[in-house]
Amino acid sequence: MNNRAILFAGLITGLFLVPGLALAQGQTSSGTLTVTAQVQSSISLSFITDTNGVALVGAGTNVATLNFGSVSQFISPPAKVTETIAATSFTVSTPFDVAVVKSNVTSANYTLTAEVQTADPVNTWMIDTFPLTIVPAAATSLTVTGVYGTDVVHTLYLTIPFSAGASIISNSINFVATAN
Amino acid sequence: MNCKVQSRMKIMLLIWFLLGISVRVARGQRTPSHAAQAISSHAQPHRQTVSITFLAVPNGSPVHNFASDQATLDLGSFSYFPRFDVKGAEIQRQEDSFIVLTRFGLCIDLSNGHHIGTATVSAFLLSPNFIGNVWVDGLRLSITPGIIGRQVRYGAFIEHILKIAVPISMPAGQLLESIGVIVTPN
Repeated sequence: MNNRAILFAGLITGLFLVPGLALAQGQTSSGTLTVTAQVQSSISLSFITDTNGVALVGAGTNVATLNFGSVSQFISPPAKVTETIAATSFTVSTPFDVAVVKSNVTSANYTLTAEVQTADPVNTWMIDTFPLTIVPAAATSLTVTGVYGTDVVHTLYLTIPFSAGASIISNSINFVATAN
Repeated sequence: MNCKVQSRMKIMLLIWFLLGISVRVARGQRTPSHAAQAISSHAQPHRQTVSITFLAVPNGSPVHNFASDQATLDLGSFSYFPRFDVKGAEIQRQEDSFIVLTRFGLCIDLSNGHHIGTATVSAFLLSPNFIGNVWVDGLRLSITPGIIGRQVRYGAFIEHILKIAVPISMPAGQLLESIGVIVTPN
């Protein structure tokens, strides 16, 4: 009889505890974390070595070096450099690629300009069919309908007069791509 | 013998009666909907409530708490080609998207100040319209809650990693995404 009383008391106590457990377990809480950011549009230009052109140092980046090597009127040009001889000068040329990619931009194409950075009174610089201007003149427009995401081939031409003395020719060309 | 049977019947009846009361009381404790906002936990002040606090962590983006259980994580401005001021976030470039990675802290606590027990923490997206993807601790979030912590101690500060994939096709502009967090006591 005593055992029954204990069992009964235990049962009753247990039943009274059930709501207490439910109180602790059934309640959930919620919170909200709002994430804010400003997504900016951007485009990026990089120079790529063309399959028919000389290897660019820094290919795949926006700072690259193109080295024609040693060139002369009477010596065959280095591999992947084309040389043409004119009446008073010779021209060396090689193709290179420019890739412009976009992100979070709605523009369909881009404008590309180029400009020689240091005055060169002796030699002539040209890309494709466009003679390059020199700072501070306005930059030369190479295209107004550049296609995003593709390696666009351009050719750099350097014309050296026969009258120029042997020397190292060095200059920088600044390219600017602008989303249309 | 008859007396014994009667006594047992009485006990059984009493047990069923008490069981019925218990079930009713237990039902009364439940939150009506898991997607309810934080204010639901404070609607009945006489009960023990669970508070959720969002916190900034070192090398993470700033967190602004503007209401109980609600905060804003400010990632600043960013782009696929980094040139903007990203506040404590890291940019990982993919082919067709970029991932913004940052950290935030989460602390759950009981209103009575006791740190006894654990809870399960789940997270979900409040809006199904975001065209990117959001992960917390590697779990890709959707509008269905997913567990990001199973045995989270009350009072413990837990750091979480938030990743947001932004497609490059998404137009530039304001990114606004709300993440719901649910805490269920274990």
